[in-house]
Amino acid sequence: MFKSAYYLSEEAVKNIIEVCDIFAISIKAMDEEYYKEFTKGTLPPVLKAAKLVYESGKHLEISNLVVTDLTNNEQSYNKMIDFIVDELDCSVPLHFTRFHPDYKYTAVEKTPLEDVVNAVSLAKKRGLKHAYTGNVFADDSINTYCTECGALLVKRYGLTATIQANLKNDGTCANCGCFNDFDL
Amino acid sequence: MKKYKFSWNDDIYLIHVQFDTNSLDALENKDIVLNRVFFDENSESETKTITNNGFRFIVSRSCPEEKYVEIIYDENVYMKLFIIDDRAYYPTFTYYEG
Repeated sequence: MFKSAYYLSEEAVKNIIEVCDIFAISIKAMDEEYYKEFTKGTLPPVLKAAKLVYESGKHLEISNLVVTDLTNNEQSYNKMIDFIVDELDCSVPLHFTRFHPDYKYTAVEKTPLEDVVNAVSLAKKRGLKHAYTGNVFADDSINTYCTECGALLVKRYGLTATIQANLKNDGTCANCGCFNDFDL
Repeated sequence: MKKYKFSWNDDIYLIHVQFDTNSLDALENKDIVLNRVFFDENSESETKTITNNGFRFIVSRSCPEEKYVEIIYDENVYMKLFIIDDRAYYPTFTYYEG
């Protein structure tokens, strides 16, 4: 498993794809100015890398940092969702992750839970099948529910995930039969 | 053996624990025992073996019913405990040493 902010050359990405099975890519913001100011990097290589991983067929999840007073707004959420819908597909898991103040960025509070929950709601309304909050320890928004009938499939608490009886080994929901993109 | 009890609360669900020793080879007991104790006083135990100096791992509260975690380790081992707010970070501020 490889988790990274993914500011990498295309050659490096292709090399990593050959040796890793699971990719978690952290897209800090869908905003070039944000990348220049806060990461000293640029956004296009990150998006290109995400697309390369997606096209490889390897398991891919995207996380998006939601920063208080900076990216905790609907416009930012929609840009992130647009990328998934337009460039990847709606089955790619997306995690809206809470920021916490640290190091040189301590002037704002930890992202309110309500903000990332709202982002998840928006993503689901727009058709994303697997949207979650991140850096949240206990909340419905970290569980997996059947995309068709809403049955609870995976219950999470912190770093503990418990597969529920509703999730069958073939990745379908025992309640309605819908396939939920699981490979158990 | 040394024993340290860390109680979970509404703000803290994650900790790192690190174990240092002057000589891993000289240790009689390299095992660290984690007892998860629940509000009904039932408990679950797991064991980890120190494999290197500076051996560190993450401990997460497993459920809301888990009251505290008790860490039992060799007298010749020095433990550092760190509180984490974000699992992606590598904490360096020590909450407890001993």
